[in-house]
Amino acid sequence: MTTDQRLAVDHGAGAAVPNAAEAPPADELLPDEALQWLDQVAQHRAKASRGQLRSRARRRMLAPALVAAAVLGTAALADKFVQGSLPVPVGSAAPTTAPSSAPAGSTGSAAALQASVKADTKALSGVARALAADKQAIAALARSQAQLAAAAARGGDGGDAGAAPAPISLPSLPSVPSVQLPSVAVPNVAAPATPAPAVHATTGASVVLP
Amino acid sequence: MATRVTVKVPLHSAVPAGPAAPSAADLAAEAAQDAFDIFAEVDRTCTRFDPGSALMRSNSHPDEWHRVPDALYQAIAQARHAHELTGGLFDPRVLRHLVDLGYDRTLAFGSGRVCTPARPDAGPQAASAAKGAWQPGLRAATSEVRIGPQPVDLGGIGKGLAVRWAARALSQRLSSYLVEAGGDMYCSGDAPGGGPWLVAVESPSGTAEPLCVLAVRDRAVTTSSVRLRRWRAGGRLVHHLIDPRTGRPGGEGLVSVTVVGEDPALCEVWSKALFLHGAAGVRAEAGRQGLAALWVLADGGAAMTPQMKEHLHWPLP
Repeated sequence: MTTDQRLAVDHGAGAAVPNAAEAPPADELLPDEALQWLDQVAQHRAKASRGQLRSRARRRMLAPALVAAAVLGTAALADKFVQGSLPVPVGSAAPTTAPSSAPAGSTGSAAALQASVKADTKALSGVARALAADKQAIAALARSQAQLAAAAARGGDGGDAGAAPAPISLPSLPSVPSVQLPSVAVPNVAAPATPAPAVHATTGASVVLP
Repeated sequence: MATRVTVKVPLHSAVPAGPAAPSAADLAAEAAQDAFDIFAEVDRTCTRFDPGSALMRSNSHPDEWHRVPDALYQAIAQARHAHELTGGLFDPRVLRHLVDLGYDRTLAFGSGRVCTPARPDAGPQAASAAKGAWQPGLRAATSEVRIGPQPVDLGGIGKGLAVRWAARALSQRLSSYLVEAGGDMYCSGDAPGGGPWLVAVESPSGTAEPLCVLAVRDRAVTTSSVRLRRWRAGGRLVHHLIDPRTGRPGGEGLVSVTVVGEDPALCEVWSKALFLHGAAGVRAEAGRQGLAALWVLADGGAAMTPQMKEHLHWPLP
């Protein structure tokens, strides 16, 4: 009556998964630089996905909340793609290999899961910080653009005044949603099967003497 | 009935009456000998494998009255009670079908390869001839029986009764013991070292690891199984648990049934009757009778009633 023990992967609707970031409305066009940055994001995302699939220990998903920043040509925004990952849902932890592999194995899985959650939290915090920095940079650019436009309207220095740049209209950026990490329960690994105890008799094994 | 009989006695169970009394070991040996004598008597009178036994002499003329030893008289009386209790599923008249399948003598089941020539399938005809309740005649004052009209086999209930009577004899001298015959047993009091007696239920596949282990105290444990007593009769795989309704081996979908209860003979009867209900009906009947029962299915699965779960010691539920 031993049974093969495995954790059921439960992706129930109630799982507290962060909402997908809202894509920019279709009737607002992003500047080319923003599209280029988004392409880079997508490429990095694909690369990260492949890396995740190769991982046996964890499954990573990108936090959809990453796709919000616009990049201007002159802005030296971070082009490093920060991977965001969600903690592994309950049940998709590394399966126990055999009932006899024991309490040590199950404790290890739980510890690995906890470490993973910690790393993910840290990574997502980094994402939030980067996005906040992006927002500040964009705001600064908007201010300097406004200053340039005002200078051009006043006549400026003369020499370069004829080449006043066209005003850049920045789209309003969606706010970065706060990332709420779901609570992760340590998988409840059933106690391993113990060998049969010594017995005093056996029933059913009728010994028929010739 | 060629069956190994075992008696286990914790020494704490045999307390000498005084300094001059036999030692605990001697007391245990004497009590065990009483049990062995009972088994020998039941075997001698109730076996169908000895043409000279009291049962076979009665079977030779089943419509006549025969004066028989007390053990046989009690066995036939208990068999009639069991027949009524199980609604006819326990029916000693299946002897004819066993003989038709070649089981008319002791067969070497332990070898695993037993083949017998089978007579033409008389199953349905013989079954119809045995229709109607079995009502043997019994005269208690003179210990006479009239088995008829068909001869009978008392192998299963005979063993259960032997365990019952042996347990009674052991209880006269011992508070704790285990008496076992061919996988049917009674466990009294505490096992050596204290605690209940632990009884393994053999795996139907015959592996060393048991299916489960039961903890029992003052209870009988009996199993009806087709793991051992099966053979090829005329090329057809058969076993010894005959369904009286069809005259053929019954218990479709089951490999074994184990029953725990107060009386060894009744446990024996119910283990057989439940087996004949087959996989489709065993749970309902066991529930109806309130039995502590466990059954193993032909597909390898197993199940038990809540009453049996109370005895489950391993694996942990």
